[in-house]
Amino acid sequence: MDISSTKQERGVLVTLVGRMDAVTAAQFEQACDPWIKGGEKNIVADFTRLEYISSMGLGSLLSVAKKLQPNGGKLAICGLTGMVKEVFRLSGFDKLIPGFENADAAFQKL
Amino acid sequence: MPMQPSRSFDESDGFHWLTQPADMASFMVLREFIMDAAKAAALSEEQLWKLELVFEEVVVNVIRYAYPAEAPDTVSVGYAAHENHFAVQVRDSGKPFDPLAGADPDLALGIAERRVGGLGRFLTRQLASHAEYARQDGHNVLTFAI
Repeated sequence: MDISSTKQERGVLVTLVGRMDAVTAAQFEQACDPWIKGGEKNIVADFTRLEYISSMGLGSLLSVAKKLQPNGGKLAICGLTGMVKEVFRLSGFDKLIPGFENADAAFQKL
Repeated sequence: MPMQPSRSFDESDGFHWLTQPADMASFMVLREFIMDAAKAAALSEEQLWKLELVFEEVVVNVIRYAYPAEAPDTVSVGYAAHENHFAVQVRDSGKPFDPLAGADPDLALGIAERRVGGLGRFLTRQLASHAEYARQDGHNVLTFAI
């Protein structure tokens, strides 16, 4: 999985490309942790080019959402498609982590 | 050497097996073994991702929890391609553990209350058309079908 993160006006945008599985899931937390420690509240994960997610990936998302919450921050997702969207629905993550069409819409609502 | 599949399962006779050390490097080898066979069996895109996800949940569980760190051992995976389903069996010789047992996560809980664990088991039960655990001859045997 390729992962990159950039500071935006209203938070941090994390872009994931590839597969979020048992081998790669920890990369997401590793990418977010420095931003959270630096005081960032809101993170938007762009899943447009994420092809696969397993429960390990969901666990990594939940961990980041839990770390943001005490500071009044939030994790949001944009660009859910294909099996990732279906796994979100099955696991109830579509109700747990807000999803948006694109990053702009997500940052507007956070 | 692959372990001999148990004969007490109806499906076991037709299984093709691969045995590897139960570690994450081997996970990728085992996944490729199963997914190559599934693609050759012309599973649909939806069947392929369901298979891949359930396979990961089951095998990573074995790799992480079946053996103590000081006594690593092997995991064997087998597949059997049938006309209307693709069956997989995963065997380890670790302590008895039924990966299908346990309560479902409460999907109504919020972020603070929701537990990180338990999702793999839930997805396995949701996505496999059949899933069954048995303890046989000192082995954990998990069989599932997509």
